[in-house]
Amino acid sequence: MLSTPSPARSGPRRIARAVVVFAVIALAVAGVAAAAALRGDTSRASLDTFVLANAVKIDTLDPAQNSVNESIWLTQNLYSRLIQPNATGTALLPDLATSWKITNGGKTYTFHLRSAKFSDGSPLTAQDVVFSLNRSKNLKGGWGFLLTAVKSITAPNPQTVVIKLSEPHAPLLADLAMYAYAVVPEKLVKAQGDAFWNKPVGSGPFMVTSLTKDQELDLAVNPYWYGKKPNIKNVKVEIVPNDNSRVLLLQSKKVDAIENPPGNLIDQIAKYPGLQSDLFPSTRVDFIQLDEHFDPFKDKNVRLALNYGIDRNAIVKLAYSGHATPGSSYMPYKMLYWNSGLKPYPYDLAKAKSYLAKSKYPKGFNCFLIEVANDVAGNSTAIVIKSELAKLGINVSIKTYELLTAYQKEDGGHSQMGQRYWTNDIIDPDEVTTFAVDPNGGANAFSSYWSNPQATKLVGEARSELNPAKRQQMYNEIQKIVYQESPFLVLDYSPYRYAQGNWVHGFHVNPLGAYNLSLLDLTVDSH
Amino acid sequence: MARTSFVARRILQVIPVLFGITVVTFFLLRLIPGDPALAILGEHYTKASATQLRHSLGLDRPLIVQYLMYMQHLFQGNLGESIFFREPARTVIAERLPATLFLVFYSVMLAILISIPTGIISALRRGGVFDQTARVTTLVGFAMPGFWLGIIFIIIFAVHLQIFPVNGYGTSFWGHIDHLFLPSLTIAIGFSTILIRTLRSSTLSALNADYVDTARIKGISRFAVHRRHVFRNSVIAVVVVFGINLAFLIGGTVIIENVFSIPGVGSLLVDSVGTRDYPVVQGVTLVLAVFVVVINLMTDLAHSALDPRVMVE
Amino acid sequence: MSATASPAELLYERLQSRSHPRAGGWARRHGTLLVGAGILAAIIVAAVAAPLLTPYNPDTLDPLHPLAHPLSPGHILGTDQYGRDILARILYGARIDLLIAFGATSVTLVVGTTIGLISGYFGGWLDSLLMRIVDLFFAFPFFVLVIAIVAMLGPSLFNMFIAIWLTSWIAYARIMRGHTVVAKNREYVLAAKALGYRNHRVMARHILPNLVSFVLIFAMVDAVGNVLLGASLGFLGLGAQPPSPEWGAMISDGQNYILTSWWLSTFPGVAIVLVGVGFSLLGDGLADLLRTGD
Repeated sequence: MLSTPSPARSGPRRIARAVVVFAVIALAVAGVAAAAALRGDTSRASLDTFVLANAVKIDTLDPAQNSVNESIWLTQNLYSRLIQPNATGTALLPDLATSWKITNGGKTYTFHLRSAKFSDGSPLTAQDVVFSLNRSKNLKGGWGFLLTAVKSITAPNPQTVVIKLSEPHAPLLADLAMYAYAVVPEKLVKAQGDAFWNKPVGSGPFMVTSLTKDQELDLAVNPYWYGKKPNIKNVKVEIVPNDNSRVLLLQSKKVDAIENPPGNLIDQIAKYPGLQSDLFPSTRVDFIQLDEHFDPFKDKNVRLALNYGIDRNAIVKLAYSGHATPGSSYMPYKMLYWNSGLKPYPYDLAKAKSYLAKSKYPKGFNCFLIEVANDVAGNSTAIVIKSELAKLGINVSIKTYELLTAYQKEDGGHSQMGQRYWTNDIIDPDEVTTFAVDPNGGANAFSSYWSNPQATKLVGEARSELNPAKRQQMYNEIQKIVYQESPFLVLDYSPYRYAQGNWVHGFHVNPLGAYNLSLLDLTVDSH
Repeated sequence: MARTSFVARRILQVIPVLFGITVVTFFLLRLIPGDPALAILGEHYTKASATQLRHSLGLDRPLIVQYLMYMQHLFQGNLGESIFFREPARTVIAERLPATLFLVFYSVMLAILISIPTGIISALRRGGVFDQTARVTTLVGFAMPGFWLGIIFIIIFAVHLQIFPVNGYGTSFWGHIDHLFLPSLTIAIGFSTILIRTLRSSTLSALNADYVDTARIKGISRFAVHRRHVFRNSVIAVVVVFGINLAFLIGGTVIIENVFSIPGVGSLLVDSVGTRDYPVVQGVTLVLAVFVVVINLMTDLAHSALDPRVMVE
Repeated sequence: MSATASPAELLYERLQSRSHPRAGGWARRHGTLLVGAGILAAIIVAAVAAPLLTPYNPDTLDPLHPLAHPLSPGHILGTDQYGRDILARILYGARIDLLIAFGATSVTLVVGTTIGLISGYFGGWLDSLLMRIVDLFFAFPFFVLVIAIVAMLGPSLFNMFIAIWLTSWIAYARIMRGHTVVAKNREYVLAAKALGYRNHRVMARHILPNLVSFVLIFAMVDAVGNVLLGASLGFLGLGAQPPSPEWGAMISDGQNYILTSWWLSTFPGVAIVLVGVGFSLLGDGLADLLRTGD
């Protein structure tokens, strides 16, 4: 129990030694870390790889089921569709279907398929097309509502697909060009079930070599791709949710392009040597819902007062750092049949006051505005609206909710003002019009519960009208009615923000957000 | 005998706790407004699509039925299917767990390396320069929000000095060490403040205990005394504090994962609450709870091994 | 005490075991207490007197002077992306964060202490039940619980209070119960009961006063935790919402600007640390006072 101390092991020195040992270990760990740091990033991009940093993780690569935009844009590189949108989103191009015939008064479509192979070498047949389209159409809660007019989809022979409709449906081709109607191999999907989607096989220009849904997706060129061979051999998509991190990655040249840099950094990035920022026109429309269950909004005079009382230019400046366009029509900017004759409501306080004076609420009223938490641009917009409407005696209280709760509160008829936005999935105006105008479209006119008999009639007619000139007229008229009636306030059209290095050539995003076509022409210089 | 019954008792107590957690999580989650169909459909939400989707996900059945099915699957090791990822929740969680565990382990290592020498030296050289500096530092460190410190680190080390990567997890072991150094250091600093204070004060108490003076009077060297009596008792205290804080840490990496974009279960949890991905939230909660419970249990057992008085309840 | 305590509880325990009185006069011996109290008092005064200390409103947008550097004319701490003065936002934000520190803590203090007192005093099935509930809460990953509650109720300052109230009372209950169990077997309590005093009187007049000080020290530590929690939730977007000048929300707001304008996120963080240091010193000082004072 008792030990005799020896001089060499006296107290203070032992302690000092212990401390030194610990310090050495600590330094060693720090040194290892530093060494690892200096070792540098071993996965530097080479000239045959294009590296993109996305902001949102992938949910699934199943085209029928994915709902996250970024995933949708990625799957468009993996699979083909019968038809696809062009680079400006205003017309359709052949993809798997090299030609098609429309007969029987617009009720029968016959598609002739090219000979194509999936990335595992197996041939793509009409049967795969039939399977894929039906699978997507029949998925509960999926995109089947676009194809309610479709009676049957059949494959009379391996190179032909026939679609029969119950009535003429003008948007059909645009619907088929939609990402959800991509073609997948029937045998493999049936055999592998859910596991298939982690290493899917498609007929698109690229195929998946590895997938970690919230970190990285690696693509390589599909050796059986039937189209123009891409200049690059690989694509690497990194998932980087933090805005600043993405920008830093681009600045340090570890990635070639990034998605969605914060709006306030756009100008900064443009000035940074070697980088450029891009504002690609999109189909996004930001608007304010006006629920007509709330009495003041039943009155058109009130709605017009709101339109003239909100300064859209101020919103563009404060919420988007100037990188957006004031909104006029409910339809996305310059899309097919967009009415370019409509101009955004100008900011005119006097006019706003006079309209309000004509209404039942000349002194103004109190209302709330639902906004989504953590939506920087949306929050700024709400602040601007609040301060401007105060000048009309309209007291707006901002209620912030987390995303899904906000959506829930905005639907159902108990809302007042609410922040919403829309993006197109197809290039045809039928989709947005159904949601925005058609009282039977399921969305209650963007939850305003407004309807106009003339507009409703036109929506149905335009849906079945196959003559483009006549359709243009009908949609022009619908847009005019909506503009004049203003069941909701169209605020702005905001572009897709991207940033890339000058060493990248040919990266381009179409208004639907897709960049798959541009990847075919893309080149990456050394940097 | 007393020991085995103590251990057995503590292990048995774990079961109702875990069971209670499944109940609370299940029903608490469903009290949150907003349904998963909305997350999936986004602005293309219509009542009809939502109803169909909810039906296919099995969300329109009575809650009790859903709960019973959930428990049945749970006993088979099935955590359900992630609504958002369309994959088994188990797979989703398993993919993210390593990053969080690496982060926690790394933080703990750094915290120990920082705390032990600092705590001991502070106690042995009480009142000296080192002690004063350490006390001020721990005082400030305790009050510092982790996310703020993390951002400051990013600004200094990743942006300006460019020594460390800004974010992420890295792809190889060394990559992990490299990417996770700053986040682990951030957590370690917070953790250390508590460990240092505890170690310091328990070492001081032990140093001043009567038996120490007695032993010294008997001629035993200072270090022998310290080693035998002081350090052992300090270690007890630190083990307890360490265990408790570790358990606390497991659920608390959320913020750091957010700041440093680390794909761990913490950020998975926050995201999944946002998309109402019930199976994933339930799964993560359960996994974290199991960790917490196990760590608490081990701490109790270690504590009782070092200090048997604890077993008398 | 069982090992399954919360970190704060253990820290509090450690605070009690220090036993080194300083030499010198009252002020010197209780320097820690005074410095802590002083810091907090200064912050409280600054918060209350905010309109006198700054000509700006925390909400006024000034699109002409966005992102002004600290020490710019008229803006000592600079401005944010909307041109709002940072110092003004910090001063008005102090009101919110102090409210979190005091408001969240005081409710949990009262509720938790009461429950712990009752549980420890009466023992039996009530005690077992309450302590099992407490165990459950402790095993629950804390953040999950808070996030779920806030998600359930909606992100806002008030709902954050509710989340904190619902989750933080347990530590107080545990401490109070532990001390009560020991106290109820002490002579003065047994004597009181023998004299025929009713239960609630025994609890309120005899047991509670002796234990209040312990709970108060713990409350100081808890207050720091609550401020940090409030800031963390504000940072995640689950607490006070923009345009509120709550400090955590300010740090989060400034995240997009750290590459160009570091001051947006830095100063609110300094403010949080100051409040935390104040409470910590106050707690340390109180612990010293209790030991040497009685």
